[in-house]
Amino acid sequence: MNRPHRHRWQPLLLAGLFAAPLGIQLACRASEPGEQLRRSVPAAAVVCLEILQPQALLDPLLSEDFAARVEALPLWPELVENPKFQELRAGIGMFQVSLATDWRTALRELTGGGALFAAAPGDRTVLLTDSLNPDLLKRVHELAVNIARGEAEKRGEPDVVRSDEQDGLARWTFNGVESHVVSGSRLVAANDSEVLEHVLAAARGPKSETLAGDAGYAAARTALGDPAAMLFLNLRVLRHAPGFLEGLEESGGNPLAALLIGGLPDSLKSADWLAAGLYVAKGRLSAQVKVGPGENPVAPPLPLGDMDTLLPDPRLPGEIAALRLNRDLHSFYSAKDDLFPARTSGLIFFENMMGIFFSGRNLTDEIMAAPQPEVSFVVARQDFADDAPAPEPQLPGFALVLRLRDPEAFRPVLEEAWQKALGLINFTRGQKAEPGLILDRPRHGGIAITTSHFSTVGLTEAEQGNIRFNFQPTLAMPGEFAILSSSESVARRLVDSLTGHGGTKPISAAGSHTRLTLHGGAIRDLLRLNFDAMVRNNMIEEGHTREEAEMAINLLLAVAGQVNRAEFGLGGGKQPPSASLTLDFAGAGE
Amino acid sequence: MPAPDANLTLATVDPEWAWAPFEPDADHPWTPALAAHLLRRAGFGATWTELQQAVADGPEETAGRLMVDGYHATESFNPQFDELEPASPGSGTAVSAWWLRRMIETPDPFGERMTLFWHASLAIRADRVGDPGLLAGRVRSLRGLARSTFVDVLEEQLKDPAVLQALGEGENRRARPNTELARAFLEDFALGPESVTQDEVREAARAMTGWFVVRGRLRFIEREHDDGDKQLFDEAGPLDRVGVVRSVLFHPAMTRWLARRLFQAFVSDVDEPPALLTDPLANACLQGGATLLVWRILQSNLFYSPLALQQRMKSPVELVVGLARSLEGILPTEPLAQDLANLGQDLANPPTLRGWPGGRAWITDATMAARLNLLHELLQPDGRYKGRLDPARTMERHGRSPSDDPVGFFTELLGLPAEPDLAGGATSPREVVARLVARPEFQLA
Repeated sequence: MNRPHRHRWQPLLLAGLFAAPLGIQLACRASEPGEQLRRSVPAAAVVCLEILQPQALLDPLLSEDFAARVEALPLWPELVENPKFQELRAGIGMFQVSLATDWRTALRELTGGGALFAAAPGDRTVLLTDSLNPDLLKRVHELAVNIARGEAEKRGEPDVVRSDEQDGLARWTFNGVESHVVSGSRLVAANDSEVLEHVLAAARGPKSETLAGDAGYAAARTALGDPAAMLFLNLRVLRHAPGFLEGLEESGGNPLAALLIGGLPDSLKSADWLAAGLYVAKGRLSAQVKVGPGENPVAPPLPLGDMDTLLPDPRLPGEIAALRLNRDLHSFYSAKDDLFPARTSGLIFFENMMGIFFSGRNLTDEIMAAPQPEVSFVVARQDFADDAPAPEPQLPGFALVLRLRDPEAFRPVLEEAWQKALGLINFTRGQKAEPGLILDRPRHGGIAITTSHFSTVGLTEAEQGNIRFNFQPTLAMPGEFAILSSSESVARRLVDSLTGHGGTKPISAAGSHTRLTLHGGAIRDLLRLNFDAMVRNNMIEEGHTREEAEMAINLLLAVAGQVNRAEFGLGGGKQPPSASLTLDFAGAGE
Repeated sequence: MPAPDANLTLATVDPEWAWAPFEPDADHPWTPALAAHLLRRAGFGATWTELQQAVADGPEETAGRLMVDGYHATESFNPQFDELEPASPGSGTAVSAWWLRRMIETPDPFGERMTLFWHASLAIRADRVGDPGLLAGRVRSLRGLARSTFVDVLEEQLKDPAVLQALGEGENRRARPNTELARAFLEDFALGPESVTQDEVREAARAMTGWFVVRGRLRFIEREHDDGDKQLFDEAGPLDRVGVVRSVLFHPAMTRWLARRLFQAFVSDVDEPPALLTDPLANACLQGGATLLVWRILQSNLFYSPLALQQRMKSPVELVVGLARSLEGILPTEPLAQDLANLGQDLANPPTLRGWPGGRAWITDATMAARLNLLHELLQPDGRYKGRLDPARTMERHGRSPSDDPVGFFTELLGLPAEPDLAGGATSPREVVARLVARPEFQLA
């Protein structure tokens, strides 16, 4: 069946924006919040977004503090001058006068009972909202009707608003395509009349055929606890969507990607659902993602070990990001031929190079078995000596931290491989008449470290800023650890961190095998340091003038300034996969 | 200007008439279309203000302003832009992106047009140079040479580390002279392949031995230089690289080679130019160099005749930079550089040492569709190009309401022939321009 102009959403948005809540008087009454809304959504829905605690979400967004933060953004003065913004502001003013309330109160009352958006195959969507103030909803709807009619008249078009009544409910449309009803405190808006009829029929039909009776949805709710909002994906249906499984195959076919995401694509292939919960606390926004396992796994889990311990957060001075993983590289690499039968050219190159660096040792049993499964990858600000060249842009340093099973035996092996790698770099650069690395063996923290830096002999002023001066490849092996770093200063700080405190033993990670931590303050410092280079890039990437580019980068700085710390975690291994994201905002708890 | 015979072709036109100065008269008036033609060929395209000024000033004063005043206008612009452009761009694409940006913004479009001409005539590839900073330096060097004589330009090629690096400077030894460099210089840059023998390539290679590029700088290692006697054209003796340049200086093929290229760049690249027409230019070249030649071309009857009007295919760079300049919008040039490369004009990597084939080679079924797609994308209110080209704003900037005959305004601005229903019923400025640039005539320079 053709559904012309289904994409014309403006009238629906109008209804949704100003008349959030809906109120069909349903026969069913349920005690759990939101159940009445779920009772109207057919179980065939693939994607559902449910707002369970509207106030928890709206309170921070409508607070004076949030408004002050937005108004402090560099873009704000320009935005205020924008004619479209002024038009919006005038529109809101008109609504406030017409409804005799302020927009914040109206929004709270219109959406206060909860909201649910659902989409089903075939481009079918529906939005349901419950209002705390049925009278306000009614008045908003009347206002929207008048505006739609007025706009049509202005354009010299016939009246586009239509309504008809069935079963005691008035069905409305603003454009002949979307369809909605307003009844009591509830608004139900669908992207066409057929979808609306389905929704109304579902509300009258058996609970088991709606989202309220769906076992997967109920399991997801239970798994997520008490979120302010919840996103639910029905993977049993979505799995049949074109490209879905192919996309998962693609992401799982790359060995490095498979190692990093810990077999998540394989889990999703057989899972019944994926759900995300959003939680709001003072100054903190967090999210949890859970996957509901299917009964018949389509693939065995990746051989990655127990995956329940991580190295502690290194907490380096100047730390920008730390990625901590638990990966049994030996098990993973042993199974590579089964996991990736079509070996990539990158893997072959990797094996060839490892063969050279490690003098023909068995890569699987002698090299990949050397580190413990707890691995860290650290990104941090690096320090440049006053008399050293200052590259532009100044990149952060990065370092890989491994914990060795047999440090005494493996240290000389790794040292030899490292120096061979530096030699190879020097050889290939020398072939191109480019300056090479000079090796040094200074002592730091009681151990000798192998560091290197690019020669500065005959350096011209123009070459002072060459990007190569960001790199001083360094190997340090304090205690049971091996640090392979792009930066000498980062390696030195890591040595201090790993030898100066007692907290370097692996910690229990409570089912989490991957943890990525980002530090907003250090990211801001890095952005400030490279402000000019970023402005230049922005000019040619975005076509901005210099002033516009500076404004865009300042906005980025301001946004980065809002988040103090972000942490992303992945869990799973032998358990069902899960993910978490926590954002700590600047000024939280003040 | 006598009335040209409608059946004239490049092969039959009288050279004396062709190169005589164009003098507008009642039968052949100076029109906005001719002014747009001059501004398009000598630059990339005109703004509304530039076009109106050109219409008021006439051909001679307009050409003078482009070729002389434009140069003075860069005295403040170029240093500011140089400061902004990174000295060590990270890639060939970044070099292209900054150059495209300069082409769009420069107050000296003729200077950038000539820089592009030299770059396309003495073409080396970024992927062979290796260091993007060297390529950026080469473009700066060519910009400085934009109005120089051909001999000066040629001489600088042998001093440019980017050229030597791209042409195998590592083999430039006494025991193994670099014939790649010598062949490129003689056959591709200076004289044309038909004027050079293998022996001459070998002799030139011997003369150029000893020069290497070490860490981005030229270095002469005397022991690697072959200081024995050589015979190259009319020059004989222990020639070095200066001797190579001197040997081509009075070679008749050099001026013919240059005249032919300038003819294709400024008059017509649809058909091969006959010697009958290019020989007078070659003779003039001896008297004053490339700029004088261009001046003579831009003032000629031939330049304003049907044998030149719309007789060049726009290269992808000309197509897009011209549109951006006319609409006075600044584009995101990094994605643009990639899109132009997809259209066959990777600014940093010309396909051969003689640049891009040009002419009819620009247009195939596939490239035509891709050119139209790119123009369509450039004019979208959002997307990859962020709506930076806004025809309504162009009109407003010149005191016109967007509803005030956008078809007439943009037809004149873009130098298209006025025809009924040119914009296919479109009314909004954006739609009008989208329709106009989709016309076949817009693909012609």
